[in-house]
Amino acid sequence: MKKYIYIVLALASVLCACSRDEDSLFDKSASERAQEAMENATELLPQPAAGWEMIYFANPESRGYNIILRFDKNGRVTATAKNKVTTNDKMMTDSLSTWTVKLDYGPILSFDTYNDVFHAWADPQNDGDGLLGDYEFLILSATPERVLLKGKKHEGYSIMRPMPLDMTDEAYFAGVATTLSKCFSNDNILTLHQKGERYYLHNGASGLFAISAFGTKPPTVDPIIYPICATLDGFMMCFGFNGDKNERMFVMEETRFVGENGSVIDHDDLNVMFVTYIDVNKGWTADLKNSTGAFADAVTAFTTQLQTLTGDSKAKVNSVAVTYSDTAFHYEGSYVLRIKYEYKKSTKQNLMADFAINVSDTKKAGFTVLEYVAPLNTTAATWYQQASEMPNLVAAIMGEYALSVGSDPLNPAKSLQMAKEGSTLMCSGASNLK
Amino acid sequence: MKKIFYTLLCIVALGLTACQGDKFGPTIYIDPIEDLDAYTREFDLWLKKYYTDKYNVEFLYRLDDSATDPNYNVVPVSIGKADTIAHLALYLWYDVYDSVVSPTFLLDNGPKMIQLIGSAMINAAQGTEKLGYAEGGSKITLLKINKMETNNIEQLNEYIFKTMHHEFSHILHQQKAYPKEFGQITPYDYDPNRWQDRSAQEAWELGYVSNYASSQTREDFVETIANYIVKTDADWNYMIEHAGEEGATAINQKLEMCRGWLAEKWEVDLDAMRVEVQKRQANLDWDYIMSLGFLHEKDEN
Repeated sequence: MKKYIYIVLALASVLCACSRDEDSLFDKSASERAQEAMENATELLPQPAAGWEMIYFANPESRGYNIILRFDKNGRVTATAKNKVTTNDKMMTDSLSTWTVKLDYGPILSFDTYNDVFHAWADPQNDGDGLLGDYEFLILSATPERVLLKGKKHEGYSIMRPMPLDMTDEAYFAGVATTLSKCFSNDNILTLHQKGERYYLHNGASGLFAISAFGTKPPTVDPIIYPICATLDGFMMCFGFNGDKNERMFVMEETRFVGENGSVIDHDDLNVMFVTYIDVNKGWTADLKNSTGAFADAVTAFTTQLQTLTGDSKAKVNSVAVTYSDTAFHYEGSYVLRIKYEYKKSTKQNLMADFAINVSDTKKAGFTVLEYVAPLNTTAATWYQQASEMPNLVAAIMGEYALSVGSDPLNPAKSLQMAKEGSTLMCSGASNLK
Repeated sequence: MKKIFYTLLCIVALGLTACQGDKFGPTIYIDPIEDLDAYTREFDLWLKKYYTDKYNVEFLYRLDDSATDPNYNVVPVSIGKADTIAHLALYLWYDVYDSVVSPTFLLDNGPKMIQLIGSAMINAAQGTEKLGYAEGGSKITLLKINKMETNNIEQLNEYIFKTMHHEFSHILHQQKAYPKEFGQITPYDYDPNRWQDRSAQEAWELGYVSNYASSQTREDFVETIANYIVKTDADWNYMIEHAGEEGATAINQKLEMCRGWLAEKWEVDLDAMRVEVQKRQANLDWDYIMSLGFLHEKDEN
């Protein structure tokens, strides 16, 4: 009996293994397709007249870097880079080595002899790991517009795009640096709009976005990190946000970034951002030189009174900021208006008057509302009582503000305009107010 | 029952292999030697002439990461360093065997592949770095080549030539075993896990030529040969003088055993080898080295 069972099983396995009726999804065999992919890549890489910009992610956990690569059909490749980590911010140009495309578990682009620029990320250094970079890449797709690569060992995704014609290497790296400084700041909070949901993106200048639920700060333990790399026209992500892992390229527009699959990153609701920004232990500091109206007048009036009261004609207001303090938790709103000023009387006196205030993004739709509560420290209490211009200054800061972005629309933390009737405050984000 | 089982196994195997629909086209790999414009063609032709044709050796300098241990991160060697090492290895290694032992010794017994890698293999947990290794009695991999300073013979020996003699000795003893008695000379101090904690001085006093020699017997055996060949008289004698009586006796006993084994099993005169290597080490004429290929033959001419 057992014999028949074996025979039936064997026949079944043979018949199942060999169904000739199954339609192939492809016109060509796997080996033919692999060969085609290799041929395509081998022909494609030397083609762009100005070479390729490579947006290189050594691994999925580190920020990306920009490298200019120029392949020739005789197996030569030159690499140029400028960054803090591998070139000490100096331009390293045209380092020469070899390249090849070979077959492994797919077509592989290999930088198979040492290149001073390129292999700096893969060098094990003294700890055996170094920067955990790859020099062999699986070619996931290759068109004249874009080559998508995946590091063979450490699995960082990289993209190559043709370098713009008539652009010097210096201009390329300067352009990337401009994008970086214009759009990303470690104090920045941006909003990701993806498939009907909103999320907060924090930081960016370090090449890593930390993501959190909208209106919240990222967790301090094991935050979810997305490595990015600035480009001439926006930025690339090593892997896209959770909702769309393949959405890697984001193009910069005037007030937002637009992802290749439709996600949008902007500053969204500035009122929510204003409050959240303080909640992540940072604050806003007023630009005393460029603010105008009632606020500027109040600063001037208080300064004059300060000089009169102290007899120091050089006494001045140093900063006006809205921030956060643990002690302010005792008060409704739990925020702090911090005014710092100085005068000299035999020795230099630095004073800091803290006032508890409310900061609300919900009290009046579309506005950020600042409300005075009470002095929070002795300096504030004393000066509020004894210097008549201090209550005026505080009152000039309180009010209902309409917020708008300033000179860097994508980076409101760098320049935020707070307008109320008769007064305009220019503010910027700050992390050193506590 | 067994008969049925095997019959069925054959049927299943046939069934599984009968369905290969793939057609393989001609390879697209371009042989750089056949590609007249290839950047590396000149070097590849040189390697073919002086390594492959003469010694049946494939000299690998373009790194294929899948051919390395995946547990280590390494980088390729630079073409410039590969070129230098290829020339130097002819001068300090191949040509020595040709002239001292026989012109066919390395063709018959030498490695069939030499692989160069730019960086070391670093084991941070142990605080060690691998400078070379031999596989399957036929392949020698040399590491940390990019760090080599070509005018520093001590470093060249440490990184490359000592390693080559070391690894080649492994290849030889993998074919003809070394005397069992070798392991009985200092049997109790081998420590495969903590050898790196020993200083050179401590290793000498225990009767080993290096701390790595104290890791295990087979490493001790090849380290004795390699160190004896590349160390100058002054360096070798310094070691013996500082090894203490017991250490020096053990090292000399080991050396005698290596000398006897090489002579008996391989007809290699270790001292003649050493004299020739020392002579060449002391006269590193780079213009000469880089201009030549078949040194031994040219010398004769």
